[in-house]
Amino acid sequence: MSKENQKGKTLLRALLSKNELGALLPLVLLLIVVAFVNPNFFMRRNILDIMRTASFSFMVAMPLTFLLASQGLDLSVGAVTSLGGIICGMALKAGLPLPLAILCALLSGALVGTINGFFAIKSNLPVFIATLGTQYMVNGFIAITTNNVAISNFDTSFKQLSQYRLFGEVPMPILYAIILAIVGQIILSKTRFGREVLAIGGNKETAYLAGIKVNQRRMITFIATSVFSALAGVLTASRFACAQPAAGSGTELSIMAGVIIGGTSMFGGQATVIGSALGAILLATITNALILMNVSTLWQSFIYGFILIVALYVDKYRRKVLSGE
Amino acid sequence: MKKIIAMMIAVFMLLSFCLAANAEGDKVKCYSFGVMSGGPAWGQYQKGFYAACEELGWDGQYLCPTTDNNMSELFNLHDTAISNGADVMIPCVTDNDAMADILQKAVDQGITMVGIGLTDPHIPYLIGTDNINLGRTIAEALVECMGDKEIHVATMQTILAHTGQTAQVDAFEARLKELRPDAEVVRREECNSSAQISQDKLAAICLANPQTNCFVSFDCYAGLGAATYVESEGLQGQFTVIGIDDAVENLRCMQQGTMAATVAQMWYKMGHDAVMLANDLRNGKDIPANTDSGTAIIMPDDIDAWVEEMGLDMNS
Amino acid sequence: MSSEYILQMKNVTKRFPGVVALSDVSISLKKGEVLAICGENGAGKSTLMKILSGSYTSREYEGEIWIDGKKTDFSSVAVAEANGIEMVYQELNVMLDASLAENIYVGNLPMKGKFVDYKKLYSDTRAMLDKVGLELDPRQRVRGLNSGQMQMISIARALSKHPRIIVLDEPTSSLTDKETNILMDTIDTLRREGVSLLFISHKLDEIFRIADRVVVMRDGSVIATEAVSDVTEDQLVEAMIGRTIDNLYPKAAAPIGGEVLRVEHLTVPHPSNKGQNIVEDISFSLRKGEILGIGGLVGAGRSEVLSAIFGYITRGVTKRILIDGQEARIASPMDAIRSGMGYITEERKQTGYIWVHSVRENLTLACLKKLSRFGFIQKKQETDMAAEMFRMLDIRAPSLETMLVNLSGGNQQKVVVGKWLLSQPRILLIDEPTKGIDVGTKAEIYKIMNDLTHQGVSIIMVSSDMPELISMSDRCLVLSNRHITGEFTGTEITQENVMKAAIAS
Repeated sequence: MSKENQKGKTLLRALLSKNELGALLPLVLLLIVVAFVNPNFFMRRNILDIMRTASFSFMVAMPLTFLLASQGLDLSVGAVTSLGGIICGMALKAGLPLPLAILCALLSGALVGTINGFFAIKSNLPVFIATLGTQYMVNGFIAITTNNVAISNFDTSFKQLSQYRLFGEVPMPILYAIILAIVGQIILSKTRFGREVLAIGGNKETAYLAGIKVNQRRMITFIATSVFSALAGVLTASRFACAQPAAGSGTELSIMAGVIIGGTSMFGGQATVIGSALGAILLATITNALILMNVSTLWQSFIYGFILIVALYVDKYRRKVLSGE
Repeated sequence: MKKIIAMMIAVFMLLSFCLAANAEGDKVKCYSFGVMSGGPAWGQYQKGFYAACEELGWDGQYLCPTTDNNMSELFNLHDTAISNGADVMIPCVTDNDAMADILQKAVDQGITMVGIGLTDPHIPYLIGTDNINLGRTIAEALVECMGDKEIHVATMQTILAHTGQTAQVDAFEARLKELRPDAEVVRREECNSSAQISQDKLAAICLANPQTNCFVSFDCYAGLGAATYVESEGLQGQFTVIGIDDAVENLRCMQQGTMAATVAQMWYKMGHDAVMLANDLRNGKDIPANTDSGTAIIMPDDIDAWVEEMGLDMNS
Repeated sequence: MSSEYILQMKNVTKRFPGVVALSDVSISLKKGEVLAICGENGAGKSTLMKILSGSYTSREYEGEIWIDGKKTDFSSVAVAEANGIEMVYQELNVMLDASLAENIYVGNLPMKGKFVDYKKLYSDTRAMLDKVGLELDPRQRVRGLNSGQMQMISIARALSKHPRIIVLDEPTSSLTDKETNILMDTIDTLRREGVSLLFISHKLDEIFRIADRVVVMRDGSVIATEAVSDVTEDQLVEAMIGRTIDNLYPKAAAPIGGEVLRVEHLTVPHPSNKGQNIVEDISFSLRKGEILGIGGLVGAGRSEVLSAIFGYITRGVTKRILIDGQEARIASPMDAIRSGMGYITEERKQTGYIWVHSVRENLTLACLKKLSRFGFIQKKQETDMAAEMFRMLDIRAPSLETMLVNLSGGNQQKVVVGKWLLSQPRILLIDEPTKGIDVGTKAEIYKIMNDLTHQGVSIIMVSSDMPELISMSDRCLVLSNRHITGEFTGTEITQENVMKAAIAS
């Protein structure tokens, strides 16, 4: 084997060892295609728009990464996003100051997270169905309390929360997401908590026998997921100065898809926060790029699904090469 | 022990069912259907429907899917109502083919029907916002707002697969061409009732087609998203957004100058009059095949009068 | 053209990225012969099996396979089966909620027209169960059987296909002595019927008892192929590890101190039989520097005793545990670790390691708390600790970052041992320390245990390997029929004594 060949192989292996490849490769390919069709795509304003879209889903995707890493699952994140906005809106309407209103929203998220955690951990119900149940109940709760009418008429300070642009350019949600990405990745890869969550996902029994507080760690991941979903809801409400009863409905599966495309294993044990960010960016880019390339929206679902499958294949191939089979 | 409890529950249920059937046996059972519960549009519809049932002393019930816009569940609800012995139905037809069997059953059982939604051979009488009329009215509203400016418009539906909305958009485009042959429809989009998606997509559309200067919403939250786009880009006065329905957030956008007009459907009237028409039918009166519950173009100047007339709470 | 050999593998070489797993391996199997294959972990035995089963297709390796003197293209699993090759894997592979009959005849059910011929199915199953010495009802479910019985079911499944060649991978690792005897008899019968067997085993006594010839592999190559009658046990071991071991079980007794652990009135419910206890009201103690062996038949509740002490099973357990004379409340593994205990379980894959994590992450799993400052893992300290253990235990892996899934069984076990050494326990519970492990690694594990006792660590060891139990234990308890039926010290620990106690009631 020639030396150059060897070098190439080492490079390939190094590339393949990156969990994030499943999101990165389709993203790069997509960018190359768009660059040819419509270079306008790369205008700063458009990139910021895409990043803002991705930021909202990443806010949920970040904690969801931890949840999936510990072999959990949560289908109620979309409903809790709506709930967060609504609770915050109702609290503001009731005359509470903004920080307290946000706190109320986060607490409502924490409550739902605790319930999900209770179902999954203490009662050992199948999470897929149990969190679907919570999703319905939360949506029902919103319908009952608001009669599905949006809450608007907020004053400007609330809007600033996500409408303010840093240096007149960068929307705040992007800043929040960057902070979350850094903090999340550090927690995942540098802290005991992150390692323990991964260990639980890798093998719950082994982790328990090694003295890890399995139930407590799992509970934290459930609660964090719901709290951040509620936060995303607050920020969405702030963005439109309007808390919509269905602000987050239907987002759960695409957010989860982004996390998995990003390289977090559905079977637990392996996760990357940066990958989840890339996954969110990829999904936001697809929607945006299709419009910029003037591809009919009728194609959108198809292409979305197609890229998802491509990403899964990249990931599968990667794992196969790495495990030496 | 378990068996005894199960038996007791069964007996109890049977009894209560019989009692309920007896108690309401003489009342006219009237079912109405919609794609969601509450909300600015359907909430008004429900109010009108229940008000009319109360006036007539009918036993009215509004049914809708547990998840918004779940069409197959909507079809099943029609079926359930027929099995429950409905006397009057206000069916909401969203797909003629898929619902043909169910509606045929209703016809066979002699159930009085006044439909909302699509025209259907099984239902001789319809009330509601006529899709064609609505589309045409929106086109007229847009042309009025645009004055002598060029028109490069993007439209946003809930989902492209929504037959009724597609009919509206088609009628909109046709009428627009009649009024302004030079007008260009830049793109048809869908936003799944998310203001966020609406705003993001509009930004991309404007980048891809910089000539775009107006936006028409066929989805209740698309207008809010577009108005937010106008606000964030500082395009007040340069970019025209037409919303749909009289949701408070739309009216507020108009007050702030980010939305030019909204076209309201008369949801309360629709719910109320549907029941009244059905009552006329039962009493052997003649009613027109199509009753348009009407639409109204609301301009910023009309807001106060409208709010008062409809009893809306601008502080909600 | 007929051949003396039913199966020949000629010059087989299999490469993985960076590693040659098999290098120019040639093996021949005669009709009606039992050929044993032995070797250390990583010697290439499992790769060889995968090639024979058709799991690796002929395009993925170099070399040829000949059946009955004819070159055969092993392009899929189906080809291997069509040539009458059946595999019995070490990992149990049964459907717990299906009947014995369905398990044995899965994919091969006798049919009458379009329907399953249950009458024939059950009578055929009866015959197969007789063959492997199981007196069970063909209709009963597999759930509730012990792992030895399940292993026999797997063997019966292979037999039901009337194979010409059977490959057995460590078939006795979960069997009791009695079951092993039955298996040996079954193998003998098969041989007389003209079936050829490849017998992969670490247990030298079994090889000498049953095999005609033995192939020794080391580092992917065949080191020796000998008639069993021509070699001695020492020669085999030497060939396997490439060095001489004076003593396979080098017990080096450590000074024994005072009592460190006392278990009183321990009762543990039976894991599968509702309303029954697997052990009832047993009490014993452990002293400093001592290795306390626990013997008994499979299913006597030995593993359950360890799990209950460690707080891993708690439901229905009653116990009183004293550490250094102080009562300790141990309601979870966390409590146990805090009290200075460690627990190496029998089922490595299920409860020992995390197979998608690296060697480093697995090694430090039980001491993350110690390694963390303000919740952050001290990366350098972690790597240093793991690297030291990596060297000390001579774990054979490309690097600290290799995933456990890519390691051989013996090296995985070393990682599990290393994990608990890093948590620095005073009391170590070990369940089957050398199950499924090659001779070389075994000796290394024994050395570690000896070193630990010299450092004052006390060990409770459950073992089904009689020589191991006898030579490593300072004292030995035997469990049978819910109670301790024997306690032996020093020279009293003999095969006869332990065996007698194990079958006592």
